[in-house]
Amino acid sequence: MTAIEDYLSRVKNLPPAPRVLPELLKLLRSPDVDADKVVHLIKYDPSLTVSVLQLANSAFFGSARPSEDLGEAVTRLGFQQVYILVAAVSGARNLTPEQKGYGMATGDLWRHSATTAVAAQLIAKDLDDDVDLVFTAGLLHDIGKVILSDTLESTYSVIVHETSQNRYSLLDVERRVLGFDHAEVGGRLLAKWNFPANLTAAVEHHHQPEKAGAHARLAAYAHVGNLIAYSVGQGYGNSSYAMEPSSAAFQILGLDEDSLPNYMMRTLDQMNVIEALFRVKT
Amino acid sequence: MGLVVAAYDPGSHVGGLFHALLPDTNSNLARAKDKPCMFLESGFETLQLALLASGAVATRLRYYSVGGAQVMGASTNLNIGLKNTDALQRLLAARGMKLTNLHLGGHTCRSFYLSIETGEASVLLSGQLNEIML
Repeated sequence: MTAIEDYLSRVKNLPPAPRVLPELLKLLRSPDVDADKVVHLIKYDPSLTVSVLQLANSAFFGSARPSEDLGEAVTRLGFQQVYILVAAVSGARNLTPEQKGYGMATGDLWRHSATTAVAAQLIAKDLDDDVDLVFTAGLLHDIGKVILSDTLESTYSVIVHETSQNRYSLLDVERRVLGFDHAEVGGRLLAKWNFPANLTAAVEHHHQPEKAGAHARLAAYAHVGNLIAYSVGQGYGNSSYAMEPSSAAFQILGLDEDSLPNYMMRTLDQMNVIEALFRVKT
Repeated sequence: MGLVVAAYDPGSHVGGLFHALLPDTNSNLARAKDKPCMFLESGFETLQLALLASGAVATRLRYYSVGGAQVMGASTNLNIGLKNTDALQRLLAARGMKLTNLHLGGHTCRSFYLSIETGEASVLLSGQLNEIML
């Protein structure tokens, strides 16, 4: 048993798996998406059902007549909108709580993750890649932090000191303190949840996408999305030195580094819409 | 990476601040018109106009700036913190202005506080408990 497997086996209360995501992704990959099957996946989850209905009935979609039928709501929103909403709501359950070990207040990790997902998705759309898959990789890239936060709480001052005074990246500090990092833990957690290999690899290697083998492109999206989220000020917590940008990630995507400011602005615009939708929902 | 520019008039107790994300207004003129405080140059003009409209006197204004940290081990291209601080220096030089106090660069995230009542300005560094008075 490796150090991570041993660690994960000892963690009490692992977060609940967002099981619906890999199944929904698979469903939406098929050439003829079956709306009934999409409804079937969502309808057993009350909070997802409520979210889809509320969004379909929100002013954002300009609905004159409220829909009480999930099937109608799914059709009205469109599969992609439904997927993004389901991913955001499922992710929010795990990512919203306070992460004390990282100095992140309630909502901080969710906001950082959603910003990463939105940024990565905007780039994927421009580069004609799979936006749903990229959004999911971005949303879940830091899921390992949910697991490590409790453990790191006792070493909070070490993290602050090592990142701000000694200029170690957060990833390096985790490796020095624990022997492994949040990216590796996140990848293992997704594997444990039976997520597909591409998402597992993208999360595990989001800090060094070139090491993700066949899934380097997806990992590069998570990396650049993460970089943009930090660049617009989302998700530092107590670590002042957040990450080491990888020029390999830009090369893998064929993306010009000078495009970063433009994507920062577009991401902020999109996040305003998403946060407004979440306010509508709650 | 972004930086805060604040100004305060102790005579009228009028003050304000903005947080600029990017240095260059010209990179997106339409956006600068829509959200001027996203950019350093257009944000600076907007802050000055707003304070003067609220009763501040230009010659009494004290200027502060905080931020522009290099929070990632970035190459120059990605180092927006450095680009922002350089742009601020150019902007001040072009106007022949000086900051009353500053806390720029470095590698640490920080929060900035300005008391409109007293004019006290302070900075809190990430992970620290005590503010630094400016």
